[in-house]
Amino acid sequence: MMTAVAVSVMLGTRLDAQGRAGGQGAPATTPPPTAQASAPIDLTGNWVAVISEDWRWRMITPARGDYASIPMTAEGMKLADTWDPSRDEAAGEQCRSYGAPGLMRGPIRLRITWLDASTLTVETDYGMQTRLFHFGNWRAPDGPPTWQGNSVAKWETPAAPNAPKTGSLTVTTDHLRPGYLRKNGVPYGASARLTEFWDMATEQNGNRWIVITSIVHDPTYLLVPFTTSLQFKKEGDNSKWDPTPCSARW
Amino acid sequence: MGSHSVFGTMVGHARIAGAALVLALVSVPASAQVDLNGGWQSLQHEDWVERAPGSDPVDYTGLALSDAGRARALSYSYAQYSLLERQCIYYTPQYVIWGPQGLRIWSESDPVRGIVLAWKISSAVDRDVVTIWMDGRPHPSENAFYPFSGFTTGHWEGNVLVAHTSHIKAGFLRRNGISSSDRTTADWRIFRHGDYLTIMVIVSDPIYLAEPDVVTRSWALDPKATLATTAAPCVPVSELPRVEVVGAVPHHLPGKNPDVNEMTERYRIPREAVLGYQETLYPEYRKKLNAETFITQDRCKRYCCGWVALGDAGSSAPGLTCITNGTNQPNSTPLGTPFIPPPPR
Amino acid sequence: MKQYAFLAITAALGVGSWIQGAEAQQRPPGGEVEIVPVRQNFYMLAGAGANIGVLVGPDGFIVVDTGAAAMTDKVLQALDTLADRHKVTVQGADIRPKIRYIFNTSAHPDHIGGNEKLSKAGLTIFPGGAGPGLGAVVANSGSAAILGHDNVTQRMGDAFPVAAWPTEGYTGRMRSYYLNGDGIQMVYQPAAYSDGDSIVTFRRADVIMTGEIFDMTRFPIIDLEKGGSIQGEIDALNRLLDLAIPPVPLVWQEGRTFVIPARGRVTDQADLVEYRDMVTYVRDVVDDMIKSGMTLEQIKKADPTFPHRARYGADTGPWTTEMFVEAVDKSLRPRS
Repeated sequence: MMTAVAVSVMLGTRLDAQGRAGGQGAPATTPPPTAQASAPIDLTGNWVAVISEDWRWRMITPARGDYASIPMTAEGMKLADTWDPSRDEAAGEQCRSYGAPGLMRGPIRLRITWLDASTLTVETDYGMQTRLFHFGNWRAPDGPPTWQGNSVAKWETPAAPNAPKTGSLTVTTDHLRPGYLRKNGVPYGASARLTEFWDMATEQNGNRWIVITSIVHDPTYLLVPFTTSLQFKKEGDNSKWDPTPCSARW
Repeated sequence: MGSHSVFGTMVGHARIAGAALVLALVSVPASAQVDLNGGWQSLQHEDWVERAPGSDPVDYTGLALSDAGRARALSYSYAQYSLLERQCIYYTPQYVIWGPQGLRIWSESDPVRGIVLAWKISSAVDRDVVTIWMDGRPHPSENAFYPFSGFTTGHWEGNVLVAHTSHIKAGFLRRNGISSSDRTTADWRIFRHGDYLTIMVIVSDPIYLAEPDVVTRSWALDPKATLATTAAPCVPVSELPRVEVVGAVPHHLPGKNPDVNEMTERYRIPREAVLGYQETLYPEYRKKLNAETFITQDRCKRYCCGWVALGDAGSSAPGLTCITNGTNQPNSTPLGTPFIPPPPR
Repeated sequence: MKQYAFLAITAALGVGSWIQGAEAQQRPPGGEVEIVPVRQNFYMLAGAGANIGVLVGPDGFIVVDTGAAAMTDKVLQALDTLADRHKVTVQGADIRPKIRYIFNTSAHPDHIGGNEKLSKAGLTIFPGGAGPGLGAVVANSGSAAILGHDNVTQRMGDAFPVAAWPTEGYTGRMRSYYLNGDGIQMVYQPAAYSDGDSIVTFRRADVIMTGEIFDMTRFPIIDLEKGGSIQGEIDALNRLLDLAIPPVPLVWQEGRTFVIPARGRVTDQADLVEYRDMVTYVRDVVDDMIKSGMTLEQIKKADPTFPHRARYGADTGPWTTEMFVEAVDKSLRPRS
């Protein structure tokens, strides 16, 4: 008869010591760490978009009707064909291409800081926009949709107790004011939803990068979710920070 | 009283075979990893022109070329592809992110311990399989042969697969003749989020790049993908009689590239951006251009839509046309059934 | 237990390490000779001046080129290592392979500096040749034979001792040998680096030694004084392309001809194409500049090698970019 062999089967779950239950002198429970305290990656600082992809659609305003790469529906294309920057200016809607889904693909610099322990602030110089990423049980206030919408964030960390501190950020944004995915009027509507995965990469030479996988859902104007990835390089300071207001043309 | 938590299973009367089976299942090391196995469908929502029809002949936008890299690119003639001896030369491994193809990724494991020894990224019709060795082996000597796939080693940093490729042959950074030298190295980061895969590749070439080329691409898991793991055979074919004259190598002499002004004339893109100067990658370059000096082309005339749904039941648009090819003629032919990736979890 | 248990289990089951991995070929520190395996029975010795090829088999070592004189002792040490690796034991006695033949691809000092010592460390294929007389002459006094094109001997001349000269010269298109179970051909390639260049092909090993015709570390050396020319160099590169078989049509397979250049790594047809195209481009640019009336000085200033200079050029050393441009110019410029 085989001696019983104790086999511990660990498939990525932690052997957690269970806390002492009940009894006298139960210790006070400590509050869970804040989002800021538990951040597995440090996104704060100054970052610059390196426009190495889709240059002529991101660095400059592309021509009317140039929708290459974007999986638009016919309805989206029909609406995009009516793009008129003068009309947007007259209506005070110069910021249509600076809403969250389109903003991040622009030629931007980011300044990321903690507004408080549960809110990460992402500012851009291009368009002078501010995105707020809310952690925890944040409830969106009532109000009209905005260019940046409501963003709910959470950290994703590998389920391994001994893994080095690392992870990524998932952000879901909705309640968006209709805007443009591209400067030349490629639309997204009020029901659009933006999902982002923010990762970090550090090169051997110390260069740090944020890599964002961005997925825009809009069943009205997009045939399939518009999925792109972006990279931002860390800068040592904000000396190149150059705030420019929204422009419907440039 | 305290309790020791012992998470496990007492296996009484376990046979060796059973223990081996359990052993095969127990394959997760101390640090976290993700499973990259599967068929990953290419989402060509960026750089569709480059990845599908191909860039214009002199379009170096988005690159920081060195002066030598620029001169080398400008000397390139597409007729080189007609050289018999060039027709079957593979692209270099970083073409994973520039090609239009989906990827099949699979692991090869130690049959006894079950740990992954290597991750493999499938080849394409014109690129070799990329093998990412995870077993800690060192890179070979610089004097060793450079295979088409280069030599890649990797490790996990949390959930991210980090890899480094050396021993890369001279080849092309992009298909319009922007070259990469055999001093090139590539650094990879592979991120998986649910059914989405994003690969970042940092290509460093001290000869032809003024700064590394950093590109990221995304794919979506497709359980129905049928992607081959090896490339197709290649047979050279005589195309241009002239290049079969021994020693005739098509190229452009310095200052004689006939296409050098095409991007500027067609899209009004400034020359320094067309020619891949380093400063043009950064937002501050826009200070040199502004709404007064840069006038957008009025209307798109070629490759206007990589994707379009024409006449689908939910949003038919009679009479709606789009230019999907390199002409300035409308083309209303739908591009086939698109792959719809799953919603992010 | 708070840790994953598989390590304990594998230890208990006595599972040894399975991982073999590639042989760790690390480049030796500067000044050392590196043994680079090319085939099971073929090695490249790198770092000896020019690359040396070694075919191993029952006949002993067949060596292509012997490196620079200053590195000969290191070359002999490397061959000693190979001899150790490939020795056979017969009736309790170790039989270590010896150098039996040396092939010289040209008279460049980086290729023939070790001729005398390596030859004397070797063993003639002719029996009974150690003593004086005709037998000794035939048998090179017991030393390994050295084969090269006749012009190699002419070019070596008084600058080298007689013992370093090829013992067998050939004229004509080629010379063929069958050694170590392989068909070996010395193929004459006129007017490339010089008028004495040979390409050495090994049919069964499927390896080609190119001599100075192909150099992964620099622009090709063209010695006009010794009969080299740019057109001869390009012709030689195209001939190499004819001989080097790529992995076609099954491109993903490992099989292909390996091409060993004068310096630099082991290559194949794809690397050769790149080099041939580069040399042809420079030739064409210089040719165009000459036809447009530019002088040599003007051509040097215009730098016809520019796209390739960072990779192959040198501003100092025995072969500079300027020297290369001058050689190309003089090859092409009509003589007045």
